[in-house]
Amino acid sequence: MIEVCDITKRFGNFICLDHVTVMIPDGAVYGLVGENGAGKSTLLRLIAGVYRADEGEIRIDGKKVSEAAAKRDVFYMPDRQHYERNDTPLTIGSFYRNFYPGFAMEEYCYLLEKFGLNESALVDSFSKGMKKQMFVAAAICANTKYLLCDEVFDGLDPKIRQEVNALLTSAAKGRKLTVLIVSHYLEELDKICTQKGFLHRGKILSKKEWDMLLAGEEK
Amino acid sequence: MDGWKRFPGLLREDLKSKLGFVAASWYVLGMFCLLFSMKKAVPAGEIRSFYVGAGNTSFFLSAILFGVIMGAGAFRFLYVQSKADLYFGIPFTRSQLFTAGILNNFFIFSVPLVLCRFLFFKISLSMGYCEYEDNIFCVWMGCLVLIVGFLFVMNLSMLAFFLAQNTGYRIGLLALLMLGPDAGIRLSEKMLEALSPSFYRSEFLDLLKRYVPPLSLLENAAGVKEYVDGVNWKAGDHLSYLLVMIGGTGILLCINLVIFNIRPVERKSGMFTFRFVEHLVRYSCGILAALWFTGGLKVFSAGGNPVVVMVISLVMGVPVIHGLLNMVIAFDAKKFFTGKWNLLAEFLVMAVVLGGFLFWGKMGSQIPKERETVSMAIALTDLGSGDDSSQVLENMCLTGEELSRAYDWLGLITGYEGNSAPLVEERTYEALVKYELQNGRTKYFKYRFPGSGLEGFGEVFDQEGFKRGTYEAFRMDSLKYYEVRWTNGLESYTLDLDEEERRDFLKAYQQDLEELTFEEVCRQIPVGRLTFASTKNQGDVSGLLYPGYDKTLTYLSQLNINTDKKVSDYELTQIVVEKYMSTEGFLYDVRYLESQKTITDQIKMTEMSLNLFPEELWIDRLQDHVGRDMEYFVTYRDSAGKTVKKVKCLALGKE
Repeated sequence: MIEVCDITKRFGNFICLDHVTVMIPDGAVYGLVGENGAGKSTLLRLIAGVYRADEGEIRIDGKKVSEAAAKRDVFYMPDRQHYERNDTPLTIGSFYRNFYPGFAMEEYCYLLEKFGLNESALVDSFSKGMKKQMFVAAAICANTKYLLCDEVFDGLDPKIRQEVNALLTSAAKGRKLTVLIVSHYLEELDKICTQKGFLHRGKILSKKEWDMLLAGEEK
Repeated sequence: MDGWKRFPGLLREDLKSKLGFVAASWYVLGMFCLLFSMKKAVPAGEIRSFYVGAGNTSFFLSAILFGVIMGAGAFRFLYVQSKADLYFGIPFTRSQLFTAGILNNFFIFSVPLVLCRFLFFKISLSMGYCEYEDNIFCVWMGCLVLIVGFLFVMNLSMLAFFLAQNTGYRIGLLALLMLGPDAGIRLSEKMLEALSPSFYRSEFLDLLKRYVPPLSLLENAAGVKEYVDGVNWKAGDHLSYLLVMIGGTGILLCINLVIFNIRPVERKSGMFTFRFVEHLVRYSCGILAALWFTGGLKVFSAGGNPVVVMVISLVMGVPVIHGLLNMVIAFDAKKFFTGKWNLLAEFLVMAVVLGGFLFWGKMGSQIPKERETVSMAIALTDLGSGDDSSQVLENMCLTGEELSRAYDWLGLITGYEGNSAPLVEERTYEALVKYELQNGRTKYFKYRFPGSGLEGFGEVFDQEGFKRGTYEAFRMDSLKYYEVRWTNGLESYTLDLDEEERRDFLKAYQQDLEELTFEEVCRQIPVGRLTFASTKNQGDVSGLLYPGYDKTLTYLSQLNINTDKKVSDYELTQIVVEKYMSTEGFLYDVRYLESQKTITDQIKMTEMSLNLFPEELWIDRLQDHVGRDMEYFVTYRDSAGKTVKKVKCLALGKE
């Protein structure tokens, strides 16, 4: 279970997250929705241990996120995943295999083939969608308990979006993978998510508050 | 413990991202060996085993260079968000990421260093430049010193890169960390010099100068400045520096680990990662600038009251420095007039610092009493035939009766007003004095005094302790690797003497030196100069020959050297007379050519040359009967009469 307890994160004088509390139970596919600058990616980075919270605490299965033991069960997939210029899908796979003991290389190669990605081609030569597919494949094959995805559907065409969606859904159901997805694509989230959270100006809103907010904006 | 099992994988991935460093270290260090092996012969006079010594400059510079570059590039992922997402997202703690980066950097530099140094040593052995047993210790110690030095510089570089958010500021901060301490100590010395005319050196600042500036510490640990060879590199002389460097590296490593753990990945407003760094930079730079500004103001004020100078410096300097620092720290010219509370704090800090210097200057200018003094050393800077002033102070030890006479003379010269204000009209002389006190402390003073102050100096000069401390010839023990050269300024010879004869000759010269009086030094012009030149680059020892040096001159005569020959005894072909005009200012002395005249008439030349002597012999600049505004370029035929030579001469007689 991921427990985000009363988290506050400031960037200078700007309060990005203001006492946010979120609980993500095991096996859930949790979608986090919010407009630009709401603090979605920041929350994800805090859960992944990239950022440090100013206040509050995040625990994964009861362990503090700063501990290696907590991070071992988490795979974080940022919006812009870093790779070296001479990386190929295979070297990316080898990279993750070093750190995630359960990384399934064969499954990873199978998924690459399924997506039609050449495992020896340079990642740099891939389109944005192809890169996303490759990293989703790596994320699924890492066999972690938790998967944090930032804008996973961004830049994907509807067909690939559907494929990715199917992949995540099957992993969530088949392996009891807990997924936290941050996205603008409400439709996709509606299809996949078992729970949703709404983030607005650094605060978590209830569904009712969110609907009222949207209605107000439409007006 | 989770994460350590996967640690080798992290090391491997980190190493992959540093392949450029691996290639560069092997290339650079390997190239030293290659270039050295291609060197067919070491130039004569160079110490061959110096190449394998701990202070080998090539390896020393590479340790600094790689330290800076690899420190800067140790954690490149910190400075790019997408890389930070990747590295901080993988299942390792920050401490584990830090350890991996440090370990890889350590191995990337130290493995090629150790191997290349031993290859270098092997080449030196095969070329016969050194002996295995004599140098093996120094080679090992050299590896240790350079690796610790590398880690020290790397940690400094890392710290600067962790604390600043912009490449320019990172480089600036690194420069402040590397050069700031040295600048601070030197500016403090200048301040004390400006506030107290008798300030020469401070024992405390000397200590700081050796241990605090990173580059000096590294230089002293390796022994770079001393040019010691492999055999003479004594661990005892460098151990304290090495220990301080190890301690400093350990502290820096801990600081870096803490900062790496708490350092935010996200970019913050401002140029520095933490607010306290901004204050640290502000006050460090502010103090350096204030010291520089006050020191400059004191020089321009030409002996003005120090308190007034300090008040002016505070009122005028601090706001300007504050504004400039505002602009630099925020990188915004509009910030010049902001931060009134900072300005107030800076006023207070600068007032305390400058007041502290005023107090220190005042306390430091108090001459120790005779009963508190164990021994003393005096160096007369114009006594050029003696050893270097700092060496004289190091080697001289006046005690008992000699100390009392020195105090008597100092009582005479410290009474002159010249010690509080520079004398412009009359020629002044300078004496550097070191007091060894009973409380174990050492105090240094510098006194300026007019020519009349020299009158009582004979009492000090004639003491055995003074001469032994001043003249290096008394401290020569072995003459095995020396040759003796003689010159009268117009011609020179290397004496054909074996070691035994050289020892006899030195003995005769030492006896003459013992009998030399201060009156002779002030009144007589030397007739020649001797040099005990080392054939093993151990430093030359030279000394003048005064007309009263009967034993030495007799010895030279026995070697068929005509020591009586003067300028007028040579066949002169031309004398060019140049007259100079001097203008003295507070900060500068301008000397320009006023007129020039060429004389070829034999009678005139002979008449004129009776009064001339080679400038080369005017080393003890105590004779007030030497004219200094005229220079004579004498062209003459040498003894064989076949070649023409030119020598610069001075004339007797006041300007």
